[in-house]
Amino acid sequence: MIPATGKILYITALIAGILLLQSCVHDDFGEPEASEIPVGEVISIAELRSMHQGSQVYFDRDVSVYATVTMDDKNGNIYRSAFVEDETAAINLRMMAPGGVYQGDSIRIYLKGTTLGTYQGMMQLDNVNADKNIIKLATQREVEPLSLGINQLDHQTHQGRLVRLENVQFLSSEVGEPLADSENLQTINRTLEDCSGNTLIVRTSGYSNFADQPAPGGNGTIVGIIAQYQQDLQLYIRNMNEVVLDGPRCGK
Amino acid sequence: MKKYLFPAISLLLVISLNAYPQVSPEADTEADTLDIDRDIPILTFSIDDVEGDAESHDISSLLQGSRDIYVNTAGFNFGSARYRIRGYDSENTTVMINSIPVNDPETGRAFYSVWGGLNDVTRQTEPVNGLGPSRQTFGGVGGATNIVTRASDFGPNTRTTYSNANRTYNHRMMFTHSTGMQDNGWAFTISGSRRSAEEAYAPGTFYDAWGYFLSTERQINSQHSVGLIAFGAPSRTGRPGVAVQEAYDLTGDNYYNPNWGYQDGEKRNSRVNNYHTPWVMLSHYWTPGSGTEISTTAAYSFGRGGSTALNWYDSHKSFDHPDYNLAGDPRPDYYRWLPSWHSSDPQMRELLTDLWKNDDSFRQIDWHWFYDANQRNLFTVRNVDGVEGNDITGLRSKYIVEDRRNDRTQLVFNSTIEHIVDPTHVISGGLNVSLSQTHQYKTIDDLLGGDWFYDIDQFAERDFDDPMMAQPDLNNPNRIVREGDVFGYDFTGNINEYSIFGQSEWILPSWDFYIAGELSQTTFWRTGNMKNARFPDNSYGDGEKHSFTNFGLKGGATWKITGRHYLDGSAAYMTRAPYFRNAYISSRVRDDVIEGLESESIMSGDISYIVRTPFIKSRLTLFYTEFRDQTWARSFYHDELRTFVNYIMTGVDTRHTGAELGIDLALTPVLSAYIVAGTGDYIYNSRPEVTIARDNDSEIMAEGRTVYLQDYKIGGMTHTAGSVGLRYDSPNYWFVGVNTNYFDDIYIDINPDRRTEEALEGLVVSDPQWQQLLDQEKLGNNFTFDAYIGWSWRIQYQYFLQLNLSVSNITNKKDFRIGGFEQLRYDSQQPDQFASKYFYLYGRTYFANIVFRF
Repeated sequence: MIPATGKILYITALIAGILLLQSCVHDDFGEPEASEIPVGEVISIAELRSMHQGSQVYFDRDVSVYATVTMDDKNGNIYRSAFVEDETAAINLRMMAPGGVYQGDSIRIYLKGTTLGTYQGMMQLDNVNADKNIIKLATQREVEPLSLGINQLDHQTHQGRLVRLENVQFLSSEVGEPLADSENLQTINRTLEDCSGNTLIVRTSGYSNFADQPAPGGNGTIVGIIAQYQQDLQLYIRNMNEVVLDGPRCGK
Repeated sequence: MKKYLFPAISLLLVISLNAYPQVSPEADTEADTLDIDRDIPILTFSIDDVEGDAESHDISSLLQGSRDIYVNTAGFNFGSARYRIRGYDSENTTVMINSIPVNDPETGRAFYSVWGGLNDVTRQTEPVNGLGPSRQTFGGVGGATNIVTRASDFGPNTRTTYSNANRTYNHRMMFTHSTGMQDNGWAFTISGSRRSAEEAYAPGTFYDAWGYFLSTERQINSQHSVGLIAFGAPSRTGRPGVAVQEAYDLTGDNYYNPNWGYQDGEKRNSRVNNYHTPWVMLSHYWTPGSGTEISTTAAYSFGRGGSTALNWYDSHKSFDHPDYNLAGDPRPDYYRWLPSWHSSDPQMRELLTDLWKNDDSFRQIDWHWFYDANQRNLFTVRNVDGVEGNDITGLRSKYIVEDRRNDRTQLVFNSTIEHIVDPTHVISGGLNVSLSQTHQYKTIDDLLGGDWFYDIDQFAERDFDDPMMAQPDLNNPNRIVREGDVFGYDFTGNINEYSIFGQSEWILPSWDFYIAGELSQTTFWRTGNMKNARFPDNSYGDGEKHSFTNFGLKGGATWKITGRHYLDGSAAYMTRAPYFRNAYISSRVRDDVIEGLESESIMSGDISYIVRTPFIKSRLTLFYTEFRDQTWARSFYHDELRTFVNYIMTGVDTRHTGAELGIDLALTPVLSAYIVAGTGDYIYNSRPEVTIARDNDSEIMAEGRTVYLQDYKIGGMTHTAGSVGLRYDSPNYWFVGVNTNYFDDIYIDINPDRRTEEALEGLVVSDPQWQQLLDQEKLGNNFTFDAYIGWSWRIQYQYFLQLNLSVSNITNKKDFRIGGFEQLRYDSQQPDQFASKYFYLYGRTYFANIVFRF
């Protein structure tokens, strides 16, 4: 056997070697500093909308808009899309990916990198990235819908707005029909009418998780977002519990 | 004789210490892709799911202990190319430590990483190749290997080793001390090991592992002895990745690893394996009379197994560049981030090509994006924990790292007897009882800057109107979880196996015979710890018990034609219970097994011609094996059915036929050579039936579909391999050797769904897609060259110093594809859309050892 001193030296060298090797593998990753998103110039949605003078506007500077989210795409009725409004106006956000913003979010939209444009008559802010362009300031801020009649809806003022329509009903030919075709994932346009004969399209996507719901037969209140396709205004339902059509129909 | 001792020892050293096959990524968990129309991130998992590394169940290091030149060479030279002897996976070989089978009960595989780094004390093996007789167990068609760890079986020895390498780790330190059986009746062996690498061969891979081992034995009297063995090998490693050829071409690196990214200048790997499964064994060794040995052991294994991965909710991961407007999947090699996807947009193609070539934060994970996004995601969860009005507002993590855990606990009771009836007759037998649980669940590993993660199933959230359907656990609804909390799924697999075997061997002057039989009973069931909302009646609590009774019979004979020529033949037939991992349709969420679950049957036979002269030792073997009625289960996103499915094939048969040749030549007293060659034809031998169930609600979407799998090759491995080596052993105690290896007949692992009538619907034979869908790609053949050299010195009669160096793939061949697989997701109209993924042999690697022992 090795003499005692040799043994001690030997074991010490061993332990030293092990300790040396022990420290060389990185373990804990701490949190990096979050990057700040500058505010820049603050404008209202009405001001934003007015910037569109017939051609697209690409934002490459620091500009921000404060808004509240009135509709998200979680239930599938819209896709990669959201609606936001402030006191002045409303606008449709075209997102780069699904989800990201949720109904009730009070947000600041950082416009750099987004594009203001129109699609078939509907104005939208395109290429919005929820991770880079949206800063959430608060949640559960429900917007009070505007109470309007179908004939009061204005293409300019109310595009993208959250509205409440009272004393409306589905056409009798559509009562009981599913709002959309979930089997083939097809969108269907149903029609609402008021008691004066004014009509409004209710557009529902076959992907929405309430597509199978039948159009109720009664008269009552419906809450939704006003969208536009070419010349037609359309209503998007956010949630079936905002469709309360259980009263007696017109003329009864 | 003595002058051969040192080179022999040194050679053994080189062979055994050089044990490391490269880490090969597997066809593993893949967070799959988004629907063209609806962006739906979905997870794909395969049977090899998350168990850990493919490396760890490749048993080539065990093969190196064999004295059979074919087996020894296959382990040493072919391991890095994922060669498997006779095309068998490791569940066909029983691996034992101290006579206790240690194959994983859930999958049948042998994970040698359980004793990784303990090379010094696991070097003594009793390997039985193929259908030969083992005296500790019945074994599988691949054989049985027992690792001897009984304290009195180690000779007195103290050894310290330092190794330096560039394969899976960079540094290794081992220290072992054995006393052997001492006069006072005690034997004692301890061993410790450390392996580490900041970054190993593949980029982003780190290695952080320890090993500890203790074996003691107390000789009570001439008949009785008791021993205790305890060991473990905790390890944390960063995984390499696998990618499509386009990604390798764009990055200019065949070892491109999509799993890592920079965080504050350091490489951070999202896929980290973290394993520690120690064993404790208490044994009683009894020798009632000379020629009879009875070993009885109670053993217990416990610990943790885990593999991390990214997970995300509503990812808007994109890239900061003015012209870049893609977003969604946070994985850098997601199919839409590849230029080839944008066939009609040359500008985007150019931009993506440029980013792939030049930008690390684009082609690797962007950790900073995740932290930024999480820290901006204010969210309110209402009615947390199902409590009305309990609304919690905070930063909801969109991106997280989760730890997918599989913690195994196993209790084994084993007793084996070996009895020499007379010099010509040995009988052996034993019984083995194994009671095991695999607890499978996942936890939050890192919230990446957020406050909590909201535990709901995002696919159920999308598909169902009722938000309660998205609850993973109705017993604990609406949870927000933090680091360390269990979420998502939580269940335990209970697997009990009882088996007995008996064997009789006759050793006669001209003939050897043996026969052996085994009888076993396996019972398994699932215990759910969460009541899944989509399967409320079928997920929580103890599930249905499934029992199988199986048997095996094997026998063989050796005709000793002369003292130098032998003819050997064996045959076996056995049935095997399905493994827990393969039996359930979707074990994470419900208690449903594959319909018609039955045992598989295996039949095998081989004949060998063996020559042993002082000049030549050789073996030529022909073998034939059939596996029948196996099952194959995968979960992935199905393009045609547009949803996440559980894909189950039953009635899968395979056939393995081939030949093995090993020749060891002692050319001169100092020069030796070997020639080793193996070839086989491993094919699917049936047309399995497929059932496709929707994962979300178990709706059967397709039933009884035929998969035209007949005659397709079993992929992902080399069918043909050969090696020629030359070795010089100097009388001055140094040696040098070179060898050249050849690999051929490497086929891609195919996607069975592409070989169905449904996949070809709408196509005709003359369409290019027809052949593209059906063809099985064969990878090119290749040569590699290795060399090794070693010295040993004797100091003051009792101290030895040994130095050796081996270099593999000397020519640094980096374009050798050793395997690959077709993706499970595919588009019939454009089969190239989801291209196959490949992995390459590592370039030049070395292994250097210095050993000091006395």
